[in-house]
Amino acid sequence: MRPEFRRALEAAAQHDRPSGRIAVIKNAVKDEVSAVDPSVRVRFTDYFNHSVAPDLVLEWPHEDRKRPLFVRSASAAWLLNDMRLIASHHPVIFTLEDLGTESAATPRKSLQAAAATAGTWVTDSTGTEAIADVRARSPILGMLGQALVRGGRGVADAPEVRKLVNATQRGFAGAAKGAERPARSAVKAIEGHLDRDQAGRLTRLLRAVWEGHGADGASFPTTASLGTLTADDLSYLLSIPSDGSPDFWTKIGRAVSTELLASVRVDDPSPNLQALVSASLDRLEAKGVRLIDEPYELFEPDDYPRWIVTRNRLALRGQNWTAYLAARRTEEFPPTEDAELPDYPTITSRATANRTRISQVQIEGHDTAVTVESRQGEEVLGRDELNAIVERMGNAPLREAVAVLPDGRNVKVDFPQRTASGSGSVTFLLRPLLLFVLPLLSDFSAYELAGIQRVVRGGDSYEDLYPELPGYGIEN
Amino acid sequence: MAGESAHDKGRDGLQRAKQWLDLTTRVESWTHDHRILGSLVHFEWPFARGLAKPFSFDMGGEFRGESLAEQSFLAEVKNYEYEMDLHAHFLDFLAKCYIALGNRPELCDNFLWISWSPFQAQKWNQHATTASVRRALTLPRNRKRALGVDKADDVVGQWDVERMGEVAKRIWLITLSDKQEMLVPIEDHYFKIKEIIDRERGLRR
Repeated sequence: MRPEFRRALEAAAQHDRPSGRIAVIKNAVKDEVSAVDPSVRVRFTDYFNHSVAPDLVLEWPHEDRKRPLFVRSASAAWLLNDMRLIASHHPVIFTLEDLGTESAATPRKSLQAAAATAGTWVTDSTGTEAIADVRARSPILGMLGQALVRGGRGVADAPEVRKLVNATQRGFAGAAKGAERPARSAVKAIEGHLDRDQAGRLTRLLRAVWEGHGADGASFPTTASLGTLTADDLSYLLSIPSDGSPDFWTKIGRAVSTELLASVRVDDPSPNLQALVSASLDRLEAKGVRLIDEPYELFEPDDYPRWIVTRNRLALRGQNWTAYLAARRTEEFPPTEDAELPDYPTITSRATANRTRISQVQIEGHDTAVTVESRQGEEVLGRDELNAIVERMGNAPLREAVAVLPDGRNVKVDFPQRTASGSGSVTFLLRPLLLFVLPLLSDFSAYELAGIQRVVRGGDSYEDLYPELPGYGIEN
Repeated sequence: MAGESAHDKGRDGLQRAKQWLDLTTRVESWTHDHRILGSLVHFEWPFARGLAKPFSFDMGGEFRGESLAEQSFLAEVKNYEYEMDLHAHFLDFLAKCYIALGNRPELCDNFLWISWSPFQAQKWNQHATTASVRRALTLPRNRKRALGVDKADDVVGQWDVERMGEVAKRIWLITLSDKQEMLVPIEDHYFKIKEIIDRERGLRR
C-alpha cells in the first residue's frame, strides 16, 4: 500500500461525519488511479459504495468513453456477487483492503475468473502502487499503466502486477533481440490482463520492436489483435510522461513514418515527440518542406525550434514560423500566399552560409525567365556567366532554384511559395532536407540557424553525418 | 459483534438488503465491515465488559431526496425464512437503538429492521412502540448491559422515557421477500433514472 494512501485512509477515519470520510476516500482513490495513469480525468459521482452506481467515473481527453470505478470494502465473495450487477459496464473495482490477504481462497479464484471474463479490473492499492512505482521507468511501462486503467481485467494485486510488469519488460527486451520466448510470454501476460483494445496497442508495439530488429514478422507470437502500429497507438505512446532512452525511440522509429506522425494526436510541447523524431531523422522521409510565417502565439511554449504535429502535418516550429513537412504529396502542404522573391545576393548568402550546393536558378525578368543550370550538378552560384546575366537583368530576383543534397538528390525550391520539394515520387530524408534546404527559404538569424542545426543534426558533426562529402555544410 | 458476516447466509442477506435499498435510488449505505465507514455502526453497551461490550448494527447510511434527504439510518438485517427467534432479536435491536441514539444521535434519524419473515404478526402494530422499547430494556440481558441494573424493578428511573419514545418513532419495519427483490427497476432503466438524477445534481469534478 502506498504510504500516501495509508495516510489518507487514516485521515478519513478521523472524520466524524460520513460525508467527510467519503470525500477523503474518493480523493485518495482518485490519487491512486492518477498515479498509474496521469492522463485520466476523474469525476466524482454523488454515490458512495453503491451496489450499481459507481463512486468515480474515469474519462480521458480525446476519447469518447468512460470507465466506471467502484470503491469497495468487501470480501472476494461479496465482490463476486456484486459483479453480477455491474460487470456489464466493464468497471474498475478498487478495494480498500489488500486483496492479497486471501489470494489462495476459492472465492478469490472465482473472482479472478469472473473478472477476467467480464472485462472487470479488480485491484487494490498494492496493485496501483506496483505499477505506479515503475510507470516512469519507460514509456512501455507508462503505457502499460494507462492500459490497465483503461482496459485492465482480472484481479491485479501487487504480485500479479509485478508478474505482468516483468513479463512485459522481458518481452520488449527480448523482441529487440528477436527472442521469441520472452515475446510470447509478454503477449500472453498482456492479453491475459488487458481487454482486446488495450492489449492490441502493446502487442502491436511489441511487434514493431520485433520487426524493427529485423526479425521475421511471421515468427512473431500469435496475437489476438493484428496489424501494424497505428496513429492511435503512437498517440498513446507519445502521451506517456516518462523518459525513454534514445535506443528505445530508435526502435520505435523504425516502425514510424512521417505520414503516421502527421496523424498522431500529441500535446505541444511533447518531449517524446522530440525524442522520437530526433531518433528517426536518418529514417524519416518527406516529399518536401514549406515555410509559413506564423506569429508566436500567447501561451505558446518558448522552446524553439521544436517538433510539433499541427494541421495534420509534422512540422518544425520556430519563433514566428512553421516548417510544414509533406509526407508523400505536395498537395499535403497547407496553402500559403506568395512571398516576395529573394534577390540573387540573398540566395547566394543563404546558400554559402549553409554550404548548400545550388545547381540551377531561375531568374525572374519583367516578362522573361532565364534559367541557368550546371550540366553535372555542380555549383552555379558565383559563376561569372550567372553573375553577368543577373547584372544584365537589373539584379532581377530569383523565382526557383535546385539544391543538391549530399546524396545527390535534387530539391526544387519555389521561392514565392517558400517550398522545397522533389519531383515525381522522389522523397528526401528529413535531416539533409532541413539542414541544407530549409535555410534557403528565409533569412534566418544565426541564432535560429544554430537552433535548426541543433535539432536536426543532434550531437553529430557534419563529418560524421556526411563523411563522403567533407566540407558540406557548416560547423557551429 | 459483526455477526452477519460470520456465515454465508447472513452475508447473503446483508448484500441483498443493501442492493435492494440501493436500487431505490434513495439510499447511500455501508456495512459493518467497511474499512472506513464501518466504525459508524459500531457502539458499546455501557455496562458490559470485555468482549461483550461492543456491538454493531449490520448497516448504516443516509437517505437522499425530498423529506428524507440527508437523514441517517442504522439497519439490522435478518435473513430468516420464518419467524424462528426473530422477536428476541428484534427486542435486542430496540435496545441497541436506544443506546445508539443516546451516543450518536446524528447517526440515528431512522432505525431499519429488515427481515424476510414477519414475527408475532398478531401484534405487528405494537412492535414499533414505546412499550416495546420498554419491554426490550426490561429483559434481563438488556437491562444489565444497557442500564446497569439487575432487577426489573430498578429499571424505572434508569431509563430515559423520552428517548424510548424517540426510538419507537424512528423504527422502520421492512419485510422483504425473494420475489419482491426482483421488483426493482431493470438495469437499463435504473441507469436512465440515475442519469436524470445525475443531471439534476450535476457531476462534480
